[in-house]
Amino acid sequence: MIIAHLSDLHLGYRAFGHMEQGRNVREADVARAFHQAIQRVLEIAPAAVLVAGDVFDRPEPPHSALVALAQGLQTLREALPDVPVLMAAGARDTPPGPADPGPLGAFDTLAGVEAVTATTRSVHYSKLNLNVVLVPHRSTVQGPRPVVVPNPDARWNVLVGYGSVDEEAASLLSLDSGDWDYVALGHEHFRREVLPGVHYAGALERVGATPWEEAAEEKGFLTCDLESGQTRFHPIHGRPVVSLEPIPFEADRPERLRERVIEVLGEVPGGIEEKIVRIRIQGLPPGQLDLLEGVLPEYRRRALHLEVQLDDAPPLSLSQEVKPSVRMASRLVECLADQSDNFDALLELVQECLPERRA
Amino acid sequence: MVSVDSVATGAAGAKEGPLDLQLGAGLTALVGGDGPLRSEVMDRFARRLAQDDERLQTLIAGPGTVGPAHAWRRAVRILAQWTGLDGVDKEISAVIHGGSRAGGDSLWSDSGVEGLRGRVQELRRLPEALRVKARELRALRADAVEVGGDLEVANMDWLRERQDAETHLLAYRDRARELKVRLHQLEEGGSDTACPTCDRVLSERFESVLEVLREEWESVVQDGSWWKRRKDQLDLKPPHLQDLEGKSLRLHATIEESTEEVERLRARLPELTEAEDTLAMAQVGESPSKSDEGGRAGRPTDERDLRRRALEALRRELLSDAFEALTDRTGRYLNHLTSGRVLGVGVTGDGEPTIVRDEGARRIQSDEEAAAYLFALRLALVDLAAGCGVHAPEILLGDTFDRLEPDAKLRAVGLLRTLLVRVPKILLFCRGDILDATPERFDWIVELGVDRRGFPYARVQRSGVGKLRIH
Repeated sequence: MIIAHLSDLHLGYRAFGHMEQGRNVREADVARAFHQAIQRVLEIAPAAVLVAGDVFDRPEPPHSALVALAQGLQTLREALPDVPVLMAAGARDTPPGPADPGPLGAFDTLAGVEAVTATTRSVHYSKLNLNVVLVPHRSTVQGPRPVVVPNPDARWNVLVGYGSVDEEAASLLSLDSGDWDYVALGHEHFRREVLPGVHYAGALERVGATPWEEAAEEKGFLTCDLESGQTRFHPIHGRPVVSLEPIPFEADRPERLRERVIEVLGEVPGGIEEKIVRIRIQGLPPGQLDLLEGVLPEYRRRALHLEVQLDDAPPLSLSQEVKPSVRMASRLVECLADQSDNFDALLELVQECLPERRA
Repeated sequence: MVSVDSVATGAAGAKEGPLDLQLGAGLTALVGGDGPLRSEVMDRFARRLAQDDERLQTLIAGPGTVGPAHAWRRAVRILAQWTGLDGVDKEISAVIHGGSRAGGDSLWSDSGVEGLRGRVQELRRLPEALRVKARELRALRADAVEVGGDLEVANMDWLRERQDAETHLLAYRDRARELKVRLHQLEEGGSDTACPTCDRVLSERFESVLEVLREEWESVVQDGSWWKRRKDQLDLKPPHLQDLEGKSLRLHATIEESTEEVERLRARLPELTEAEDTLAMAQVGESPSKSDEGGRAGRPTDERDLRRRALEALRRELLSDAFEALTDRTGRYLNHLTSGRVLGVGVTGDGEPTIVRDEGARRIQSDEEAAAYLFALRLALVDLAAGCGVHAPEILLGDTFDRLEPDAKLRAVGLLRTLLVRVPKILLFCRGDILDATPERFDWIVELGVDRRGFPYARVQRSGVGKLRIH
């Protein structure tokens, strides 16, 4: 029996302020990725579809996000009428008020859909011989401790949960992975296997506040064959995010900076058009920012978003490091140009006045 | 009055209690509450943690409602102080006052900041003067409370005694009136008059009854006269009460005068900060050659001159370092907050902060730009302070956050999380929209409000992401 594991859809996510036909471009990207995933699920025809949190990007999602989810569920219902969809709310689907059912509450009323926000719920499908326990965000943050036990009468026991795996911290939810045939987790945007049979599926799109960490990560969802225990990743193609190698500023050849920026941006395979791009410049002093004047606007127009990140220079190796007190004393020698023969006295003065610089 | 009673935050779930500032570690969102309540919390917070240290207060609670230029100047000066400026200043002062040459201040004169320095020196006496005046005011208030108590007691005694005399006088007057009527009746009726007590005819007892009644009437009139004099005497306030009243009035006048003086001194405190900031910036921009002209024109005659010139140069370098470090770090934070649209920050020749975009540097124009600049500057100062060994146990961020653009708010919260390694507790005053956008990044949510009785309360709720232990 195959189950599909999706998470972190973040429907309604908006960023960068670019609009197309009245809709934020990134919001449309995220909805498109979700519909791609639904199409792929239809091809796989799993026995159940699990969504492990952060279905929406915020507890009060835009109407367009609600429509996107409704359309996805309707598509599944029409093509796979007997396949249940089970969703556990993540932090982003959970409103602060404890009595507020949140946006998933409306979908919980649909036939074939289980969508929990407030408390842990156990659902048994006798036809499938499958028991699914849904543990939403609120259950793992606020008491009382959720009751999470496998159903001994079910052939297959699956858990859908939201949170971060932490062996050290005090937690409300403690599991023995051996009790479960599969644990579907949500919250982390990176796909990873925590333990055998315990997986984060990762997000369908690169929706973090800084998407660069996810640039090299392929996005998509997982399926698991409960018989064999084998999982399979199904990629979803979202908008490309390009994080370029940093350009070190060469103090002795400042004019090279412009050339390097143009070169690096020109070398992006397929161009930067409509992509989300980050270029990093290391060690450019604030006083020389004018070196970039006029270079960037053209590239900013071409990319969906061009982020120019200015970083510190890479640290010097230990052998190159000069003691702060020595450095300051040298500067004083320069200031007091005619007293260079008094370096030792100046060094002593610095160390006397600024004892913390002795190190 | 806001209570600072403790609210346990260790347990899961929401708790409600009097306003609490002792929260758990992590990033806390403070939502709700009106302006005055927020200000109250901010003030209490800063007072609790920073006491009277203006530098720590700026680090912990921010520079207050000041513009970018003011905030920038203060940050440069404070950072330089943390890197050793105060120590250098003390050394310079020691060299100057230990010097024997007349006109030993020439270096300061040369540097062109003598006037400013003099003003700063003068203004630096303000905090001590304020402390002395505030102490005097507290003593006066204590006296006033004591005198007020005595006055109240004396006044009550006087009123009670006067009331007592008046009551007695009225009673005697009534009795005298009654006796007079009876005597009149007896004198008119003669020995055939009925006894007023047993109603029998008095006959031979007439004279003796008349005599008794006359004696009683005379006695009542006599005693009544005494109470009349007593009442007349008590119509005027007794001298010791008048003394106390005079003393109380004089004390209140002095308190009023003293309060005005304290307020006047307190209102001048920002002048000190402003003057110190201006002096620091003047010294950053100062050309080293100018102050060294004396040295080059005629070589220093002794070691003291050399030491003084070296210290002066060291001072400039420290300020310059602080200026550069803040420019660099503020620029980095602002670059991140604005998703790379702003490349960095700078300062114009007249000390006005600028932001650098693709088209070059320009002054800050919009409110959003100012908010982002101030927020970045604040983070930069916190970051750099830690590098100087100055660690704030908690910081509170207020008014600028809500003025950031939505994307910048998300990035700001991310930056605050990275700062938790330097500052274990960060409290952020914000509106609820950021909690909708990224609730999992906050460890605690504190809802501030005022209950129906008018008392402020705090509803503390665990936030963040649930921890799962899987083995």
